[in-house]
Amino acid sequence: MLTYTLRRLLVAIPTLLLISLVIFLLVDLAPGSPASEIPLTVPPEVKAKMIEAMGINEPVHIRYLLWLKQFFWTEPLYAIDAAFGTNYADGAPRIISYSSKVPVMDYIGERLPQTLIVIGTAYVVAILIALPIGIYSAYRQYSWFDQVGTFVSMVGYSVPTFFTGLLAIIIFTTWLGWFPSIYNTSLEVVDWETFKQQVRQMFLPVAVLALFNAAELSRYTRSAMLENLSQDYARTARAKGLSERTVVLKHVLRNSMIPVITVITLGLPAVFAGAIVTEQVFKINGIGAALIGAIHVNDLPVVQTIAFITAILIVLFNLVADILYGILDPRIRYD
Amino acid sequence: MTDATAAPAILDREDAPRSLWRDVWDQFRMHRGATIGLWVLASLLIFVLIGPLFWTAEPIKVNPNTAEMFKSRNLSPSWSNPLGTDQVGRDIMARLMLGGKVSLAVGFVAMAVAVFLGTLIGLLSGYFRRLDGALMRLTDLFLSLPLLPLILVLTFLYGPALKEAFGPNLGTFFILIMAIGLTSWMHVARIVRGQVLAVKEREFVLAARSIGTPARRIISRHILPNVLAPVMVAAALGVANAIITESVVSFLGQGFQSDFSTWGSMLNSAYYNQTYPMQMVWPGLAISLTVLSVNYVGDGLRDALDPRIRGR
Repeated sequence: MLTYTLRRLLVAIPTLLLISLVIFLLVDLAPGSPASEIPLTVPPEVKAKMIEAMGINEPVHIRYLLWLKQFFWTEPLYAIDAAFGTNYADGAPRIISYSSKVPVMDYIGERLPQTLIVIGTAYVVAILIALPIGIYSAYRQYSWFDQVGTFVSMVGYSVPTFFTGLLAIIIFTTWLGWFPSIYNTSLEVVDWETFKQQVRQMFLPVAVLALFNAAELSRYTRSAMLENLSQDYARTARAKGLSERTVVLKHVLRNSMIPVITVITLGLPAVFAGAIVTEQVFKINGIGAALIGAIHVNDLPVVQTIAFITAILIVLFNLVADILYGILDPRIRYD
Repeated sequence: MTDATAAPAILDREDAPRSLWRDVWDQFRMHRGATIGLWVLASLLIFVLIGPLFWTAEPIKVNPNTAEMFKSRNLSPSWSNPLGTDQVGRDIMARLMLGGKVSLAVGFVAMAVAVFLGTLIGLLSGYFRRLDGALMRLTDLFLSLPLLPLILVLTFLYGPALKEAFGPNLGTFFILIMAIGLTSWMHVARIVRGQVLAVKEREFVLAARSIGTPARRIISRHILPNVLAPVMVAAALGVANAIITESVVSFLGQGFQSDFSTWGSMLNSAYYNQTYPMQMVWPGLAISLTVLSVNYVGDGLRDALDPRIRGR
């Protein structure tokens, strides 16, 4: 198991490097360069100095390597310094946002928690809803529960999150007035009252995201369970006299989990996409809103870093999926 | 002559030879959701394509007479404006028709780009073992990319150059289909590769190869027709995905300009005009209905093309 994990980890490193190259080049080679943002009234020699200070007169490969060094060496050093009060970084240049002039990592560090709290809660809620529904609809195929569940999950999967979000705002905020439609990021949970407020403001975005993800997950759970329920080993387990509960929840479920885990982990990019939209709809001051804002003002370092951090998270979860496969199905480990 | 007289008698019989597509169509019609989905999709297409011939209200230009324009803003539904008017007095139904045309066009063309790329890469990596490793690594790489952020970045950074070259609307159209097509071919490629790997070992391919058929003709004549079924299912689901992505990008303000209408940009402008929530219900409903019916059609196609299910 350890060698299997290590091997997967080693495969992830070149993938990450390639992704970083793609993201860097895509943003860097675009026609709208930051140099075009400098006002025309600035004299040419000052402009040349500004371009030099921004470091955009170097050749592409040097800038890419510098960016990599900053990302994987300088920034972690600063993180260690901040955590332990040491001074390893020694004032090395950090990745700086063009528009706000603060280090990008600090900026993202302020935004990431909101996003992760909302996405994380929504995903956990989605899994908790989807698995039982998927299992039960497969077990009672063509029952009314299955029919209703399949239809609802098809609708939930087809209706885009921005529309469900807007509908939720119209119904629950405008008409009923139960939940606020705007997420207050500066709210700090200190006592019971603020905790209730936090739950109330999280309810709508989490519900919208969870509905969408649960719909997709329950569809896959149902079809995976259906496939395994009719297998010979399920019949053998029943013939041995095992209880229905053990057959379904132990034998069949465990074998059905492999495609479901693929969907859970590979669905992560879609979850981030959904998060960008829900952050826009509910005005959550998270990483998606930061990305949109940075794109609007041509803030390339922020755009690159956010895109790359999202990619790291995706690769990380793919790794988790691979390790979970190894746990669920021992044959995969020796492949 | 004998054939012509005998043919009707054979066709009437229960065990007459039937073409594959006839079987598929019969099975497709058994799927209730898919049939309803096809009808809904057809009515939506009629609405956006033929509707403008009968409903000639102006969808884009604002009334130049400012006093009249102000009087016609945000009207509730009436006989002259069945779905009301928007925040600058344009008829919402006419905008829905135009918006639907654009959204569906982006959806279908972007899907075509994605399916073409995916099929090409899948065929190459399945058939030529030397290319397999590299192409599949590329596919995995694309699967790990954060797609929506990249599409937003692509449309923002590369959009202006294309808009300059082709005009604002056509330029946006090109950048959207390129961005969506380039980021959604991976599933098709994986499916096609898997099918090609299986088909390539069959006897008829061996027979074709043994009489000296060149690789490109084996691929186009013998392998491609046998991998088409899953590609069609993936294409149907790809249309749904492309329509959603287009509307997300437009909703986030990176797609078509808000005066030109697509369903996503209509939702975007309605979002900033929240006193009249019905204005966002119509485009939202249109997107949801389209995607729902396309998904059902895809489901029905998958069942109809699956020989294990067909004929039961």
